[in-house]
Formats: sequence, C-alpha cells, structure tokens
Amino acid sequence: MSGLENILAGLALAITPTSLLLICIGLVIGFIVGVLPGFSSPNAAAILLPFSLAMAPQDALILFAAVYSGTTFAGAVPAILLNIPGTAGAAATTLDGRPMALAGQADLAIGVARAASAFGGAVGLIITLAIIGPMSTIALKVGPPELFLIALFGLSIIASVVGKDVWKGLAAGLLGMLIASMSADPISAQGRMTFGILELYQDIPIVAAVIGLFAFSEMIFVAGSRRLPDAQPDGRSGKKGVAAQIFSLESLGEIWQGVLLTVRTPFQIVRAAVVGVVLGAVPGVGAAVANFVSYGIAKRQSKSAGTYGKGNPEGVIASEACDSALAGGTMIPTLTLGIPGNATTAVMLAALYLHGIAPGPQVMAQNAPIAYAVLLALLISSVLILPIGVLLASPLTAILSVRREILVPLIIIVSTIGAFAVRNSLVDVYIAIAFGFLGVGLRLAGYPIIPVILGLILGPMAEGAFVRSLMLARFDISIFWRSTLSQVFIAALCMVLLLNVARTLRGKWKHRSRKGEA
Amino acid sequence: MRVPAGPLLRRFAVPLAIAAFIVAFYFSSENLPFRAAGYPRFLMMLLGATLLAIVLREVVGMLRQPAAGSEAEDEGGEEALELLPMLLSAVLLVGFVVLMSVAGVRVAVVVFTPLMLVALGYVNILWIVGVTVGALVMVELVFIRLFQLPLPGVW
Repeated sequence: MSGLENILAGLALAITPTSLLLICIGLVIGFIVGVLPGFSSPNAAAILLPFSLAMAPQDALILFAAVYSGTTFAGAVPAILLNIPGTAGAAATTLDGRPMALAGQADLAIGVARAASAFGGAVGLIITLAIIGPMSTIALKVGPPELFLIALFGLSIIASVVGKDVWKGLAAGLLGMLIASMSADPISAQGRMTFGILELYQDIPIVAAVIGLFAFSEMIFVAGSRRLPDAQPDGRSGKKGVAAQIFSLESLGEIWQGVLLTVRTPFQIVRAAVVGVVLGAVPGVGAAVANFVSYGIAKRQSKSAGTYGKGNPEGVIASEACDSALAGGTMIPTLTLGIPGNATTAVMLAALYLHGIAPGPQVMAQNAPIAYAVLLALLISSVLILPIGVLLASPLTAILSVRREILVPLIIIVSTIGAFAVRNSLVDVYIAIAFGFLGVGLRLAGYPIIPVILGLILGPMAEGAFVRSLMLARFDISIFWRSTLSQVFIAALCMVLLLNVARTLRGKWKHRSRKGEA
Repeated sequence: MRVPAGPLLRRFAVPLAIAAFIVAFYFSSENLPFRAAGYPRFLMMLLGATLLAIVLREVVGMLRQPAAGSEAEDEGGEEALELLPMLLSAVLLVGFVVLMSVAGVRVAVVVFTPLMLVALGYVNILWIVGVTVGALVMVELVFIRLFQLPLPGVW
C-alpha cells in the first residue's frame, strides 16, 4: 500500500465508534493522572496494560495514545494553581502560569494552556504524519546485525539521557536484557534460570515487570515520601476555593478568553510544535528539557522578553504547545526503529509486543495502518482536548484535594489484579512484586528504571537478531561491522558513550573549579 | 526513621547484587550448549564490564574525597525518605498477595485497605471505612462482574 493508502487505512481504524470512545476514556484517565503530581502517563499505561490485552492491538494503542495526550495536557493545572507541575513537561509552564494565577488570572492561564496544548499537539502530529513514512523507508534497510546494533544504540541513548549517570543507565539496561533471557532458549527451548517454573519458560512477563517497576515501586516510594504542601490556589482556603470554582460560569468565560488569546498567536504555536517534534524524535530527550528549550527560544525571539517569568501568556504557550507536540515526535523512533522515545512509548512498545507485533523497523512495513491509526488518534485527541479540557478544568482541580494515602492502596489493588489478569496466574503477581523491590533498590541507589524496561522489551529482539546474524555468518563476528549502516550505528554508539564521558569530566572539572574559587 | 545516607551501601549494594545474579546465572547455565548460553554470557560480559567501571569509579571517588557527602547525594536518585512506611507498605503488599491466594480477593481487600491507610498515617475512621467499602465495590463490580476475571476466591 502507498503512504496515502496507509494513512487512509489508519484513519478508518481511528474513527470507529469504539476508537472514539476509547479516545474519550483515555483522555479523561489522562486528565486525572496528569493533574496528580507524582503520577504520570507511564504509571497509568502500566496499570492499563494488562486490561488492554483483551482489546484489538489498534484499540489498545489508541487508548494509550489518548492517555498520553490527556496526561500531557492536564499537567499544566497543578503547575498553574499550585506551582507543582503535574508532569515533568509542565515544569516550564510554572514560570509564567503561576504568576498569572497569583495575579488573579488562573482561569485565563488554564484556557491558554488548554488551547496551546490542543493546537500545538495538532500541528506536531501533522508534521509527524508527513515525515514518518520516508523515515520508515530508511528503516527497512536494516538486517539482523543492524537490528542488534540498533537495540544496543537505543539502550545507550536512553541510558545517557535518563538519570544522571550513563554507566548506571547502561547497567540497568543490560540487566533488563539479561533478565529477559531468563526463559527458554528460542532455538533449543532449553530453560535458562527458570527454576522449573513453567510461567518463566514463556519469557519474563512484560506486564508484570512494568507494573512492578512503575506501579509497585512508585507506591512504595510514595509511602516513604513527604506529603505535598497544602498550597492553596489564589490564596483562598482549599475546599472553599475549589468548590467556588466548580462549574462557575465566570470561570468558564475566563478560560474561553484564554483560548481566544492563544488562537491569535499561530506563529508561536507552530514554532513550539516544531521544537517539540524535532526534540521528541531524539530518544530520551525529556519533556522538561524540550519545553525549557522552547521557552528559551520564545523568550529570545520575543519583543517583550522582559515580561517572561512575570505572567506572560506567551511563556505558557511555548511550553504547552511544545509539550503536546513532543508526543508526536516520540512516536517517530518508536514506530520506525522500535526505540521508545520515553517511558510511555516504552510501555506502548510492550503493548505492541504483547499483541504479537514485534517492535522494530518492520512495524511500519507490516502494520502501517495500525501505526498511522495511533498517530491519528493522537491528532483526534488534540482536537477533543479543547472542549473536554475546558469543561473538566474546574472539576479536575477538585481531584487535587484527594490525598495520596487514599490513592496508594487503590492503585496497589488495581495493579495486583492487573498483574494477575494477564495469565490468571499468581506467579505473575509475585514476579511483579520482585520487580517492584528491584525498582525500589535501583532507585535508592540512583539507577534509572526506564532502561530496565527497555532492556526487557528489546532483549528478545536483540537475542533473535544476534543469533540470526551469527548463523547467517557462520559465527564470523565481523558481520556486525561489515555493512555501512552497521558502521554508522557503531560510530553513533561510541559517540554517545564518549560524549557522556566528556560531559561527566567537564562537570567534575567545573565542580572543582568552583570549589577552588570558593 | 530515615534512610541513612550510607555512602557505602548506596555505592556498592547494587553492583554487588547484580554481580551475584550474574554468577548465579552463569553457574546455572554451565551445562547448556553454546547456542543456548552464548547470548546470555555475552550480556554477562558486557554487564560485568559496566559494573566494574562503576565500582572502580566509586572507589576512585571515595579515595579522592573520603568525606564525599555531597557527591554521594549527587549520585543518589531520590529525596530523603522515611524507611518505616516504605518497609510497612512493602510487607503489606506481599501480605495482600499471600492473603489473596489463601483467603480470596475479597477478604484480602477488606484486610489490606484499612491496614495500608493506617500504615500511611491516615486515621480518619469514616474515610477508612469508606475507602475500604469503595475498594471492595470497585473490585466486585469492575473486575469480578464486568471483566469476569477468575480472581482467587471467586467461584
């Protein structure tokens, strides 16, 4: 099928009544999760993952895409009202959103954030749709040796940008790959570290690992962390202030004014969206980094740069439009190379894998309509964000008053049932708990957990590519550096590692210089 | 009780634990043919080299700055945490699953929810009862009746 035919086939999948319902449900779930500081789309996706197995692959991915979209969108609410970003991507929104709220313009700021998110996301996805087809053509030239190197390259990229230490990130990723090999050998079917447990012969259950690492370990950390400060929006008492805002017509009117204000700044929206797509396409670039870059560019190019940081709506537009466009950008490496752009797309890759679609360059070749359906679902989410988001803006602020202590047991119960539901096996729940404890231990020691998930997902693909390469070359390992593409990936891998070593050394040198000056 | 800064624990516990896992994996795969064990051993080699680099760096860092309190904080990933609630929640999590397998999901939810709320410092009786009942209703309506999951204790 040609590119246009694939897009149309994807559109047919994305606009069915089931898909549209799933988009709305996903948006609402995403709004709720995004509003709660400390909870994010990977947590929501991890909990939903087992329940998505009963759905068709495109339905499951559309649901996750909508949750991702909703979370990105809703993170601005606590950022503006409480100066606590609901998601990392809303960090830059606090710079101007919070001053606007303190000046009595909280609803205007929320309206600006809503519209910027909606339009920025839509523009970002249109750009992504235009470029993902040509990029996937390049990805098809990849053979088993290149596939293996892509897996290592993807791991190194994620390891270098997630967390503070590339070596710890690499160790976490390689640990994930090693744990993934604790199953029956794909060729001889002999068990490796399976302890005679039947469930482990079938590969480590990704769902259990994701739930353990993202949900269980997070809940244990929430139990040990301090409570959120009782900051009140606009200086009013919490319950009274929130109750006064719910379904207030005046509030809705102000929010609508914010939307209209944003509509009058198309250039800023497009600029922020381009930054979001470009940076989102680089695996591991966090939303916080991208949004601050977008904010910085907007400030530098603004005629009123001095007002940034004091309640200029353009600052909110730059941050929120970029944040939403990033979602589209992260889909590019995820769908063309099988390298997730961030934690949420890592869980989406897990969903692909569980639905029998092996992540990698062949996704766009063999399942292009599903890939385009996901992108179009993100586009539809961007359109629906505005009306749903404006209506839910006030009630969502009430969710901020729900205490974490109440959410923790509920999330644990849902996650436990989710881990059980995959294969109706308590062994999976115990595996999830083991991964939960692993996640706690790694995080306490400063090791990131996203590379572990990536290692678990890429492990089987990497092993298959590794073994096939050696069998093709009759165990001549030079196959891994024979082709030009292999050499490019090896060079990129070495560059990533060297750049990180250089960055670490530069950081230490600066630290010592500052100590010397002091 | 708070998690001690424990620079030694923080620096070396994870590399040592992973090294122990690698050794266990290696010996358990000793009798496997190369085709089955080759790839995991390749990974063990890479992982071992990475861990060695981490440990050497930590040792060099400690030798250069013995009182490296600030460096240890830089490399630690998390804010200061309360150990007791974390341990309690971990124990309750395991207890919840064990109770679920022994007595069924409904009993496990009714026992686990209030215990967890109290362990987290929440002592409002009305809310505890309300959340427990709400959790039970959610499990019953959504997972047992709507999704028809064969949860333990459900026949």
